[in-house]
Amino acid sequence: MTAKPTSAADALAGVGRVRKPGYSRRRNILPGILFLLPLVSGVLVFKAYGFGLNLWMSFTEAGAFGPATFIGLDNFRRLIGDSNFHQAVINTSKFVVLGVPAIVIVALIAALMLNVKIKTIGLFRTILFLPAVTLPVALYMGFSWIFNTDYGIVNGFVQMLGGQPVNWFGTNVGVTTVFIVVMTYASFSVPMLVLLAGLTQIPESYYEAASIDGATPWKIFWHIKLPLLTPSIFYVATTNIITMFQMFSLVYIMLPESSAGMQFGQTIVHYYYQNAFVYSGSRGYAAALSIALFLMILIITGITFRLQKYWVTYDK
Amino acid sequence: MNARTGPWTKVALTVMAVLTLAPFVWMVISSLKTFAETMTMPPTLLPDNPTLDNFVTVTERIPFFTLLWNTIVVSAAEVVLTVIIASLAAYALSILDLPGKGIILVALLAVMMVPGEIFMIPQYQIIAALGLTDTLTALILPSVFSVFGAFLMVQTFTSIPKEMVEAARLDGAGHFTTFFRIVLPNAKGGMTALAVITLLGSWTSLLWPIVVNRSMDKFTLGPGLAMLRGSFFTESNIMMAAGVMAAIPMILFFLLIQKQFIQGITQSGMK
Repeated sequence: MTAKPTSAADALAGVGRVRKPGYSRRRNILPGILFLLPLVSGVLVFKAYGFGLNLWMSFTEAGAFGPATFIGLDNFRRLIGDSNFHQAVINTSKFVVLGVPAIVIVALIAALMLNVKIKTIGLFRTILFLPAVTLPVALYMGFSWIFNTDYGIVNGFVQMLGGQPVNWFGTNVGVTTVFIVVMTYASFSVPMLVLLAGLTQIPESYYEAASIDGATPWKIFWHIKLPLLTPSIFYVATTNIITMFQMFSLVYIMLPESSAGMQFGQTIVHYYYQNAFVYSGSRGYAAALSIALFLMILIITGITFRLQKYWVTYDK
Repeated sequence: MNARTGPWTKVALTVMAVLTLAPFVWMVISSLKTFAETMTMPPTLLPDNPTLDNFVTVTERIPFFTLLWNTIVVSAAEVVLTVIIASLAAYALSILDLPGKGIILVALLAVMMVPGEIFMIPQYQIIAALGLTDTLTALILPSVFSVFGAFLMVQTFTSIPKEMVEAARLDGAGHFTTFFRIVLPNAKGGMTALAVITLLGSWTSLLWPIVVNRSMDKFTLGPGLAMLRGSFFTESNIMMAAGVMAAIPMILFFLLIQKQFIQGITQSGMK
């Protein structure tokens, strides 16, 4: 599940509304509890209890059989010295740092191009949204084939142009390039729609005023569109950072277990998956890993929220 | 809208559309080739002897139609249950003005900040304790309690005029009647947004299904296809046929209701 902080903050803002006082509120308690019951019971069982259990497990070492033993902070100490974990953190950070800007920039370019009045614009919008509704596993398999070292079409072009076939899945540069390309392709459509919605909300009068002043399209982009879009860009960037931190499927499909490229592409969640469900007896360690991931996401999200005052323009 | 639409915009849009379609086109072309033809370098741009055999082979190697049916069942159940459960909670938290709702909202918000992986091992143990591993229910159950959905619906409901709800209550309508007859019909935008987001989430999920289920006939299309990874990864023509077959139903569904889809996504991101 992905956190969507901005909508939540907005919803909270509506809480303090003044309502009729006294007895009518009390009459609402019983129906209120009944309406809340399905969600709250599910959240209590799967989330609250789940969180507690996961936290407890992070302090234990689970044997394959028999009860878990309490080992204090040993799992967390192991994290600090685990070079596989370090590599997973480095890889994940690499994908976030390179991938999120790539997604935002491509989404922004696509949104700017879609914000025009031509007859066929609906068709273009449909085509550019297709990656979002394509089964990701199918997409990743397609790209595995496209970048196949021996018979892939990309290396076909490389060789046609006189180059040597590139080992896309065996080198750091290769894996990073392929992953960023595929992530961008698979993820730009939704941000594109969000940014397009932001663009269409800019009042026409702003453009008219600017063109009377003789502003060039480039100036209109830099001084009107981009500043007014910063709240949408912030939203899109933050949600994509959180999603990217939890990257798993792409690694799972495109890099088979123990393939050469795994060291360059394994993410935190993929390493978590191996510890939690593939290796035996390391569930406690996996639990500690998931808590480390949570803290990392919390810190990064906190930083992005702090930094927004330097670049996000809120109207009014 | 920007009035300046020179020829360059159309050219740029066309380039972008072609780039977006290219991987699909290449998958389709590859799915029509024979195995021998996929093993040529440089690859042939069009199949020498186009064949549909690969699609037949896919249905022989994986229970494709079972996977497709499971996908329909699981995503429909997830969407309906998620929207209803989230809306019920939102009714209590916005319309009913429940005492202490501020605290409940903050608690729910805290849950929303936690990445799903935190809950995965416990979730697995709960599902295992209930004897539900390797069932479709295991895929549906943990994902229908959407805190994000509740927030989205709270936002939607707060824009419904209070007078409308109060008029219904004064006419003697019970809370369930008010909920189904007055509130939900006036919250179509929010419900569509939540439905679309849930649907995309359901199609995208991979980690949980491969953890909790084992049998091929208890998977949806995505995880089912992922199970093929390794087993005939080298037969690219068959892999591509499988990918094309798995991708088409969702693309068709999207084309069918794309207006709602696009509105839903747009609305969810506007807040």
